[in-house]
Amino acid sequence: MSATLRPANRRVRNSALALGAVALGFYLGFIVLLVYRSHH
Amino acid sequence: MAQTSATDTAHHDDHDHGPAKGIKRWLFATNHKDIGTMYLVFSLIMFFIGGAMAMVIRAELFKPGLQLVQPEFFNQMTTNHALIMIFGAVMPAFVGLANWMIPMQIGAPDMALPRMNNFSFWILPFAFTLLLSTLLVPGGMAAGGWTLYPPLSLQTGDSFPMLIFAIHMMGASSIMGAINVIVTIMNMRAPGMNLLKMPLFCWSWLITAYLLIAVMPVLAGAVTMLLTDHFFGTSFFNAAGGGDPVMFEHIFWFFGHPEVYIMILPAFGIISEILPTFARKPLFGATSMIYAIASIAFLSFIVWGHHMFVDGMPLAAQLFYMMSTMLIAVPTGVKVFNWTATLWKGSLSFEPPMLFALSFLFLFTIGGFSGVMLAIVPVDFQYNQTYFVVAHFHYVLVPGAIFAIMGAVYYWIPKWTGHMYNMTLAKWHFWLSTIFVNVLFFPQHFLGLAGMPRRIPDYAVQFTDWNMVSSIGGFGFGLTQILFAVIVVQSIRGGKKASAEVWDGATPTGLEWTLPSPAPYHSFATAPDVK
Repeated sequence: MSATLRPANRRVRNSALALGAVALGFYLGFIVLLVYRSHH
Repeated sequence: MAQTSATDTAHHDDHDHGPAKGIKRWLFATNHKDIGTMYLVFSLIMFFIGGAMAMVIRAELFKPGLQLVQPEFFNQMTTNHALIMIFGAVMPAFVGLANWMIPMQIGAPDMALPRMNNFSFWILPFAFTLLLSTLLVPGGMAAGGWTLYPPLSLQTGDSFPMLIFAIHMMGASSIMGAINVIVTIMNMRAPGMNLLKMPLFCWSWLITAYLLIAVMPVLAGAVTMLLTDHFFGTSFFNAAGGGDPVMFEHIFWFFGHPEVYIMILPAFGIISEILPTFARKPLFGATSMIYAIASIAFLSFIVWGHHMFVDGMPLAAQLFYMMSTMLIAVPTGVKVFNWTATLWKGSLSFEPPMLFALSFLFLFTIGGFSGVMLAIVPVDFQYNQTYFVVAHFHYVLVPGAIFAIMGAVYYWIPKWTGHMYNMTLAKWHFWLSTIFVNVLFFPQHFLGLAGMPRRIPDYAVQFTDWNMVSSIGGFGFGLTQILFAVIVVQSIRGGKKASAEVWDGATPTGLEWTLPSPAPYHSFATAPDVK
């Protein structure tokens, strides 16, 4: 799939995926932090 | 980098087709202008719904005693007025402006992720239909305040899971919108447009988008935990089960304080576009404006504790939050002084966008000053939970954020529709709004200082006079906004033809003014060269 993408499109896709991963990280990170806190 | 991207897209778009016909144009919209229009229309509808709730609040508070609504319903109105105005009116309005203007200002053919753009808009009508439908379920709408503090919010009736789901949808929409803005700005700028040449509106949105990505998931996490506390027996915030309700407040305000800046940074960008145009001078200290926005964004992450002074916290924490909060006045002051310096010795003219921008400059600063007062710990102990706080944040949000949005619409709508609007009517809209907004909110400072608590449907008789004044201001402000809707509809339907530069005689800068008015459905199919 990625081999067929132009470099600019690949950059757009990768930037979007990276930012989405950061958002998901914050979401799950805070929940995990509180689960950890409730056990220690 | 930007050149490759723009050329690729130009290749695909060389068959210059217009919009689809009928409802499909809007349902399957991928064009940034169509999506921007939908965001703005949606935001206007939400503004009137949230405004109607505010009218209920001010009508009930016109006199002491209970006359129109039950206390429970009053609390439902305050809670949902806030949720609708924040997530339904102000934020979507800024996203709508971003959709319309960012591609046109950076010389891009569209947003980088058009289908995701469609999805992030169409989530919103479902989210708010769900939120508003809670009016019909047993127990009514959520009534524990927009801050959703447990354990109070956990006592919400059947509407609770609907509220949580609606908030999740709003958050997902905002995150997708933010990703789109960042990816567009970082990858789709026209050749020659380096970051420092980028218009201030785009800069303010770039920084806002990073804030959104950092904090909306935190709100989502907090409400997910509320949901599991309510339905799945967890005790994240339940003291009886070993949890900590104050922890919710920390997490909420870690989201909530940057959220305040999410609602004001794009307004800063708009004001930085309008003032130089009608002062006929370049923006004073443009680079320092960018650094100031970035500093405000950074500081917004470390000041959340000032919302919780009365909860009790160590002295060192109180001092830290107080000092860091007051530090925000420094970059904000840089901005206010730069705007003032832009006006200095300018050749000013007072078209409606300029009037709204000038009003913003004065009235937002009043909101900023009362914010500095609230940052002082012992003073906050006195003002917390009073109408002083209500006056403060409404000064920041109404003549701040909302006036900036209205100024932006008056500034750019000739570019969108190709028609000038009725200037006389727009000036009436401005003057009536400015007078009534002060009649509405200024007396609330006095009420707060005299000790009137917020979020109550009844009050002691000594607060009657200023409440009556405030309510009259509220009704006047609400009615005045009908003028805004009339002016916008008139401009869409026809009017004097706008030139490409629109503000002839003024000196607008930015690529959007190089396009004809109305801007073509597909603009910058070939990337412009920026000198």
